[in-house]
This record gives sequence, structure tokens and C-alpha cells, in this order.
Amino acid sequence: MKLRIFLLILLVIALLTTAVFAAEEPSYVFDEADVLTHEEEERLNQKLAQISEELGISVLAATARDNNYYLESSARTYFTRKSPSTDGLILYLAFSGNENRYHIDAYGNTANKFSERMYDKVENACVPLLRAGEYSMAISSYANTCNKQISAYGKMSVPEILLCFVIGIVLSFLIPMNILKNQLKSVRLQPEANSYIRQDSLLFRKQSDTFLYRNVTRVPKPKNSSGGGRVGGGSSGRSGRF
Amino acid sequence: MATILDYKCPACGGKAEFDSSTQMMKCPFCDTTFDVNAMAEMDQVLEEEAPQAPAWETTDQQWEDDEAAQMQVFVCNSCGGELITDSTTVATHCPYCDNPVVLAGRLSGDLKPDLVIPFQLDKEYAKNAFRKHFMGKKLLPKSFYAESRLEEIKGVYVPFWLFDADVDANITYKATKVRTWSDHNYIYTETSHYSVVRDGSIGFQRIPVDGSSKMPDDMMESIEPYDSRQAVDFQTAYLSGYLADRYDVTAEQSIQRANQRIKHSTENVFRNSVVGYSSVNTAGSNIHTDNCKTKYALYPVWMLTTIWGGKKYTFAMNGQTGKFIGDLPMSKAAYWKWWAIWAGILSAGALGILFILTKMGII
Repeated sequence: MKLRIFLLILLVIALLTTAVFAAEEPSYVFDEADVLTHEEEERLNQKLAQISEELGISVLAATARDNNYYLESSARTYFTRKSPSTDGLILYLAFSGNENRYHIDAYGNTANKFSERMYDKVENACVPLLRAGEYSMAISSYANTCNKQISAYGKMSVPEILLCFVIGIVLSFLIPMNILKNQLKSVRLQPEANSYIRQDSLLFRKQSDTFLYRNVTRVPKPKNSSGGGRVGGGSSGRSGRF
Repeated sequence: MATILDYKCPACGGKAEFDSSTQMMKCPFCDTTFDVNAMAEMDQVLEEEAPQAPAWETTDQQWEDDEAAQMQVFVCNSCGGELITDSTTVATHCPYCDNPVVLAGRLSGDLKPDLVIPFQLDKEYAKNAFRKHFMGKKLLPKSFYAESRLEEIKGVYVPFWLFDADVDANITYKATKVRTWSDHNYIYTETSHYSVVRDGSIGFQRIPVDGSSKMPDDMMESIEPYDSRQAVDFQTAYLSGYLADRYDVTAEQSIQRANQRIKHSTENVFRNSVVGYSSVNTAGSNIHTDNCKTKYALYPVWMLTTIWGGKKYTFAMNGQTGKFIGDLPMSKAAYWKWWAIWAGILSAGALGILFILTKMGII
């Protein structure tokens, strides 16, 4: 009897442990639009899980059949529901009959770090692949770029440090040392004789300013490098077409 | 025949010299002062008393002909010592008794200056200015000042040609005004083109051009400007106690330099009247100079020449305004020391900026 109770308790503990472990393995890739194969989804999930763990944030990717024009709210809703933490990034791909759109966004503390330059880098890395239909590679590229940008945040690279020394060396030759050298030189010819102009001797007999002609040129304003696919995103995140 | 004039104090017989602080002749022995005009009357008396017989000897046998033509020997009235001068010296000191002498014969006729600006600042002022010239020069070798012999500063009257000129100028310019604006799609640039004409006249007075080949022109121009309103009619008494040269560069040879400066000044003044444009370029220029008057003047300069590191360094101070000039040598050790300091400071600054930009996520 006691043995049965003991075995029953063991079984309950095992089941609970399994359930707990099962619950503690979050997903980072959500392919509701079914554009990825199962293997691709598994592989990408592992990759994003690893990156998320390294960075200490949630790096998510999701695909969905979504006709909503403003993807920002859809992406935020998805992140809020699916992300294991409140701090992270999401690449949200909306597939619809008319056009396919993407939205990249950052939340929590990551939003403070993720600059416009970083958004540019992520867009440049994954949007061309999205347009080529390589969705798996696009998500992988998005993940790699986010990892690289977040890891490098707040750190100076060795080439940048060396550049600072080169700038200091070059500027020291050009400015302060030239000033100090010029202090030693005081002999120079006087090109003009302004000190010897007779007072009130300047007299203009004729001063004419005649308008000749006017021409107007125009230059197109530079567009977004996404090729006009950007449809908005406001001050939060980046959106576009692919 | 060149006559030597030496001004003796009527009170004690000592050598009287022109004193810049009082602007009068002063005897350094009994401190008696005399008006310069009074001394001018002595010029005539001294010339009448000067020996009629030639007091100079030529040494043609010992020098080449062209060298002998440049040099003459005088006998000092005070000690009998021989003064050897070149043909342009008009005032000097006897090398034996330091008696100031003025070679009046070289200041007669068309060699006589029209004007002179007497020394306003004395030797002490010049020595202090020399010391100040060294201050704050971080690349100057430390031994340079110590090895400079300040006592050898000399007051020299330098011959100048003074040119007056009236200028007529007609200058045309091409000018543009640029306006930009933008809308959603384009950036627009509107350029309005104008033809601008300035026709007028301007006058210059007493532009100095160095009349001595011994004085570097750039050095003499560097100590300008001189205030010619303080120039007075020339009298030999002003030269007593100082060195002086007469001109050996003629007015005709000097006028080109004056006209160059006149042209640049005229272009500058006319150009400054064209305002309100984004860009202005000179399209055509017609400047006619009418050189009305030329005067010959002696202007005061304190000069010191020193040799350091095998090179000669010359310094000059305007004896009227006190402007001091002279190129100084550079210490290579000091140069590299200060370069290292500034390279460190600027590199640290660049690193600091990089750090801030990285933290802000801009880089």
C-alpha cells in the first residue's frame, strides 16, 4: 500500500516536471502563414532561442495572413502575447492577397537602444531576401543582424579606437602645431596700403547692380532605400512592402 | 665733399644727441636740452667752420675700383680716428670715441630728405619690446634669448620714398543671389545673376617704400604703418646719436611696389562695396593711378641682428609706434614635445566623443 502511494506520488511529480519543462520552452518563430517548412521553423526557432538567451531579450519572428494596414498594432499584439519577456524585437510578416508587408519593431529597453541606423541595417539585411521569396533566409539574416547590432551596442571597436588616435595625430599637426609655428613668423610683405588711404577720398561716380537673368533647378529628394516599399511605421519601428 | 657734423653741447662741450623722449637735443653729460631748431642754426655755423681742405682720403690702391667707389674714409673731428663708411651712410658713430657724426654732405641737394619722423621710443623701450617678443613662444629654443646681445640694438633712420596717388577705377563684377526651398518631392534652387559696376576714385597719401637695398623690404613693410602726421621737416640734428643711410634705390625703382599695393587696396575697397550677394567674382578691372607727389623721408627703426646656430636673425621695431617683428628659430625638440602633448589631448577628445556617440547608439 505504501509502495503504491509512493509510486503514485513519483508519477505525479514526473508528470508535473514534464509539464513544467514543456511550458518553459518558449517559441520564437510563429509561422501562421505557413510559408516555412517544419524543418525551417524548427531550425529558426533554435537559432532565435539561442540568440535571445545570449542577448537576454526576446527576438521573435512571425508570419500571418493579415490584411490590417497598420502592422504596428498587429506586431505589438503578437509580441505581447507570444514573447516570454517584455523586452525584445519582432519581425512581423503579413501576407495578404494584394501585397505582402513587413514590420520590424523593438519593445522595452531594447526600444531605447535600437537606433534608426540599426533599423536600416536590419532592413538592408532581410528585405531583399523577403522580396526574393527566401523567407527562411530572411528571418535568419534578421536574427543575425539583430544579434550583431545589440551585441555591439555601447562598445567601441578596435578600428574605431585606432581611428581616434589617427585623428588626434593628424589634427595636432594641422591646427595647434601650425599655430605655434606661426607664432615664430612675423615678417611678411603687406599686400595692400589701406592704412594710407586719404580720409574721405573714396567717391563712387557710378554704382549699378543690374539684374540679368534667373534660373531654377530642382533635385529630387532622396527616397527610402527600401525602394518605396515603406508604408509607414511612424515613430515606432519600420514597415514596408516586399 | 662730404662734411662731418658733430653736435657739441654749448654748456660743457659733450656730444649732444637727439632724445626721443623729449623730442629735443640733449647732452648726456650735463643734461642740458636744446631745441632742434636752435641746432639747425648751428648746422650753418658748423659747416662754415668745417675745414675747407679735403678731409678725406681715397684708398684706391688697396681696393678694387668698384669697392673703392662704394667706400670713403672720414676723419673724426673729436678724436682724429678714421671712419670708413660706404657711400650710403649719412650718420654713424666714431668707432673709437663713439662720437655721433652726421655726414651732412650726403644730405645736400637732391639727397636731402624732405621729411623725417623723429624717434619717439628709446632704446630701453626697444630692449623691453625685444624681451616681450620672446614671451609665450613655446617652440623658441631656450638658449636663443640668452645668447642675444640686447645692447647691440641700434637706432637707424631708414630712407623711404613716400608716394601720393589718386586712383580712378572702374570694376565690374558678376554676382549671384541664391534662394532654396523644398516641397515633398524636390529641393529647388533659384539663382539670380547680376552685373555689378563700381566706378569711382580714391586717394592715397605717403605710401612708404623702402629706399635702401640694405634693408629687407618685407621687414620694413612688416613694421608699418607709420603715422606720417608726425613727420616734420628734415633737420640733420635729428640724426645725431643714431645711424642713418641715404637711399640707393631710386623713386622710379620703388614706384612699382607702391602701385602694386595701391591696386590691391583699390580692388579691396571697391569689392567691399558689393554686398548682399551669395557670390561675387570680378569680371573686369580698369585701375588708373596718377602718382602725384613723391617725397623722400627718413623713418625711425630700432634694429638688432643676432647669429644663432650659424644663421642670421634680424629684428626690427618701428621707432614711432613700437611694432616689433622678426622671425625666430624653432627648436625641434620643443616641436615634438608639444606635438606629443597635443596629439594626446586631441586623441583623448576624439575617444571621448566616440564613447558618447556609441552610448547614444548613433555609432
